[in-house]
Amino acid sequence: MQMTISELDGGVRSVHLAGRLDIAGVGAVETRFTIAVANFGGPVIVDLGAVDFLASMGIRMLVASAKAAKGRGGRVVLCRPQPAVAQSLRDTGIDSILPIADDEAAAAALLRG
Amino acid sequence: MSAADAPRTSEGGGSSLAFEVDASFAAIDDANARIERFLGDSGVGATALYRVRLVVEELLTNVAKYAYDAQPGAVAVSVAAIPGGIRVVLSDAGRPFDPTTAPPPAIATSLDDAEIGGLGLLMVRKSTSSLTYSRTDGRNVVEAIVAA
Repeated sequence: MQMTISELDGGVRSVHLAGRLDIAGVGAVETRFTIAVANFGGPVIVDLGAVDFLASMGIRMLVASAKAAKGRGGRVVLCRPQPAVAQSLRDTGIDSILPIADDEAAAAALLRG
Repeated sequence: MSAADAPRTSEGGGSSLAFEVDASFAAIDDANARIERFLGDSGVGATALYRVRLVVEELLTNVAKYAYDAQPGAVAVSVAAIPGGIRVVLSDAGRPFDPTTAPPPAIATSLDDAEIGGLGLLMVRKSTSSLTYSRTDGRNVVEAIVAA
């Protein structure tokens, strides 16, 4: 499980995750992810394009960080989920509480809008 | 691959895999790797493989969290390709727990309402065509069928 952060125009942060967001993957990145997303306090794109597996522990991490970010005035948009990952986000109703964008430009537009 | 988890041919002519792992988070990856090696040779499609991984991940997570009250314990795993799908059976000797009757979490309508956690069994139900439970000889036995 890998995580990289890049800063985009307009104060938007992009957090790119790669690998399996299962119990082992969450264990590997949760602390850094929480700091990068929840403590940031600004708009964040979580790029799931390279996440090839999403378990409930991964969903828990995404929701908990988005919730904490909101408490600090930040906002989170999920971006580029692979089809099976997108299916799990729909199955669990996450798509109705967190915006999901098809690409980074659309995600940034959602955050600036 | 050890001899203990070598695929074998069952009486029905289909192949199956059976092994036992610790009921711990650390064992989940190992279990899924064994299952993937086994199913990888059987022509199962990517969607079904994904669902099997998800079902095993979530059910083993539950067993590791709750079955043995954080004491060491074991869980038996068996996987078989059956007509139309893949059958996964997990069995543990921990406290009785029926995942088929556990109430599903309320689907949140806003981030503020979202409860953190409790989605694993919902994902298992969505990923399986059949999910059955029995308490047999002091063991929880959960059978999940993933459509091929």
